[in-house]
Amino acid sequence: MEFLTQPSQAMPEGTVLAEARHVRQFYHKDSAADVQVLDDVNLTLHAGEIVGLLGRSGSGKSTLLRILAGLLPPTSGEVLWKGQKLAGPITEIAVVFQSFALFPWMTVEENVALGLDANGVPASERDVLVENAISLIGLGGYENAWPKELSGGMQQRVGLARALVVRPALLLMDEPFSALDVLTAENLRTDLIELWSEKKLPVQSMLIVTHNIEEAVLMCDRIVIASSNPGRVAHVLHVPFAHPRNREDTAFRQLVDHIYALMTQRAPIISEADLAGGAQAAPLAPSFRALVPVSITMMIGMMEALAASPLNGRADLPVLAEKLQLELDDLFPLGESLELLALAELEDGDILLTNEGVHFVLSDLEERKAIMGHALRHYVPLVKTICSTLDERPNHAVKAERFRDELEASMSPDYARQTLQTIIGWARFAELFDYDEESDRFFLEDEAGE
Amino acid sequence: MMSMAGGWFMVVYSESISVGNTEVVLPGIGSYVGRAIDQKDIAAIGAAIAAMMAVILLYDQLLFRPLAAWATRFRLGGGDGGVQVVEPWFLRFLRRTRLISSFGDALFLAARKISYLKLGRAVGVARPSSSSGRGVSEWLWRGFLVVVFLAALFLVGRYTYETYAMAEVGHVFVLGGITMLRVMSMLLLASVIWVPLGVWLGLDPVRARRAQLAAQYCAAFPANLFFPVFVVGIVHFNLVPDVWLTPLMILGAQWYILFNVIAGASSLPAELLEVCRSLNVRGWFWWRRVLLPGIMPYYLVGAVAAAGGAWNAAIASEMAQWGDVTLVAHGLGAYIAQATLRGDINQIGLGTVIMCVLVMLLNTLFWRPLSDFAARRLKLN
Ligand SMILES: Nc1ncnc2c1ncn2[C@@H]1O[C@H](COP(=O)(O)OP(=O)(O)O)[C@@H](O)[C@H]1O
Ligand SMILES: [Mg+2]
Repeated sequence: MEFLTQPSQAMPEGTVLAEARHVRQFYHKDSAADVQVLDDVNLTLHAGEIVGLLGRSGSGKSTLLRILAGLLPPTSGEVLWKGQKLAGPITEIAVVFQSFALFPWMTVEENVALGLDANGVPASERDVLVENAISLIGLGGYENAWPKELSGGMQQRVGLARALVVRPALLLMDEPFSALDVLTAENLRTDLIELWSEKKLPVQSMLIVTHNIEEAVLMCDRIVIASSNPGRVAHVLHVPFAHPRNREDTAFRQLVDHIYALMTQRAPIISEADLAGGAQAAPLAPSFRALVPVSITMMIGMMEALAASPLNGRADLPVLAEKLQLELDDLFPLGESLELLALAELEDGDILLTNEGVHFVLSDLEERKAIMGHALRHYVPLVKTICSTLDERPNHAVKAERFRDELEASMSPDYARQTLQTIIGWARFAELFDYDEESDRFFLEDEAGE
Repeated sequence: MMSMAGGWFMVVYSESISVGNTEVVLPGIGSYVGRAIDQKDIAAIGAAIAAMMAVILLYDQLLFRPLAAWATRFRLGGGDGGVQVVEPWFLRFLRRTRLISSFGDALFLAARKISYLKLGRAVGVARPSSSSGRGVSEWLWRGFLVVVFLAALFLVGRYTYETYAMAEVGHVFVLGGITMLRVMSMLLLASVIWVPLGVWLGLDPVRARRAQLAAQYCAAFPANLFFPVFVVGIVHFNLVPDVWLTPLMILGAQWYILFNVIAGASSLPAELLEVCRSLNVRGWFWWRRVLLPGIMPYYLVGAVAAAGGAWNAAIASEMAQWGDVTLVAHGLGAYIAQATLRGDINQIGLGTVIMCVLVMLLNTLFWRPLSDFAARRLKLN
């Protein structure tokens, strides 16, 4: 690999830097059919633009980022870098991770210099480059600190400086601000955009992976919305606003609302014919839907807030987020879960309670449990399966492993565990069944009483 | 698991022990091997090794795995602490079998009754105590301890002075130094072999899991059963005992290093390694700046355990017999072993005390500072 200490030759704005062509990615499962994570993804990154990749968690954003970085070869399809096939990581493409990925045994300066030291850049040149990157990114004075002495925001600055010091043409960032608190994240976003607007960053293009809609609208020139299961490019939007952007601006709000609407659109119903033709990918029976960890108390809190005046059963999602002091990203899983249980509906970026939802809010605890139990049995096929299995069994107990295996056929073990955990929490509230962690079994409550 | 290995080792070693003229032979695999050594019966040694392998395998499957899996429920920090424990088949069997589980319930109920018995004073009704009275008795107690300590020191000093020539004490320290040199060089050798291999194994999750199991099994095996095989070789080829007996002491202890290096390598966050690939960090630079610091805290845990094991094994390995041939290497282990044969309680005492002193010094002056440094600087969050 050749190392560039000069900024890679600046391309005129608009030239194609990286291009993903028909990228598909499967993850191999030794138990069942391979799981398809990306399906026919086409994406082009041009010089001079910031692109946001927006999608729910689990839609394959991180996978796509790794493929673009050359860290992961796609199962099929290819990535072109300046017209040439990308065969592995190159120093012209740098990565920043959500977890910062700093080396705790290196000082800030050593972390930043890693890419230069590894590639034998002469000491004098190295020192200048490191110094420049450190002061550019606002780390001056922290050169000799250890990463763990720094706050999250400062740590991510180190991650940025380390990526920028090798003067890459393309910077790929995987949810770079998600691990930071709201104020710190905002501060870092603003600084980064300012440097970009003033053309002080050595990079020619940036890709920001995020599940935060406002963040995407705030920073990007183009937003790519991914759909899930498997990940596809669902929409591409241009953001026409000049930097610096104002969140309160009407046009800004409208675009955010529009994206909310796009992301809350119901997935197109897949016809039988599609399934039959869809070859390898395991058909996604509804029982195999991954559930995000959403607690019952959060759901109830949200429904109560929705029902109360001044909302009276219907609210704009961003408005509701503000009222509940939730991050927009936390709102999605909540709304989705309520929708799944038919207690609320998402529509054009709004959320509204259904009749059943209103009924729920007006009921006492016993009745709430009954409503929830009914909804779970009705709308969460996995719960239904577990319940009927428990009813059939003479001892009213069943191993959870079985269901976990079934889930793992269509999702990663982590998601499967998470999904089961969520279901257990819901079922406990509704007193449908209980779970014993020790023996990893579901069982019916009255049986356990002995 | 690790300390079980030490247990097996000592049982095998001590089953047939002779102090001076008194020979105590307990029936068991250790004494069987002892007899086989006397009679130069290599086939019998092979049989003993095979039998031991089977025993350890059973013991591992039937006792240890179920216990370890069960113990995870006491771990702090939730179920998904990284390691995922697969329910061992025997534990599943225990949990599923009605008879056993009702027996278990009965036991549990009985235990609960016992634990509810009112014993002792109730908590919270502390006896009112005058603080001044407590202060005085505490000082009396401390003073008493100091007196006892000084008296003991005096007695030990007088005993040492009367029993040992200074030259002998010095000589034993030199022997200790030789053994220490052996321990450290063997650690180095084992590290050179197992660190790269362990890293290679540990970076691949599937390989790592399998290798962990294998290393665990090897570590549980009492390595001294293999000693006679080596000794036969040394006798046969007429090799220098001082050099060739040395590897025996690391035979059982090396697995601690492998085990921990694998654990260290597999615990490195994937994103750190991806950053390296992305920045073209590789080769020796990658080893030096990323990998070795990353696994160091784990490696040190393994190395400390291995050093302890090697010191232990020194007594069993620096002197070896095959029929009527006795091989002796120079060292503190051999000194203690020979003194034991002669039944010289004074020499045994001196050797043991000096070994303890050396090990303690090594721990405080070498391992402890290193481990502290690793914990402070190298720990991944
Ligand atoms: N190494 C892997 N093995 C198996 N499945 C994986 C692996 N990495 C990711 N996945 C699965 O691929 C899907 C997409 O993951 P990811 O790319 O991390 O999505 P996102 O970043 O959008 O949350 C998830 O369902 C995840 O479980
Ligand atoms: Mg991700």
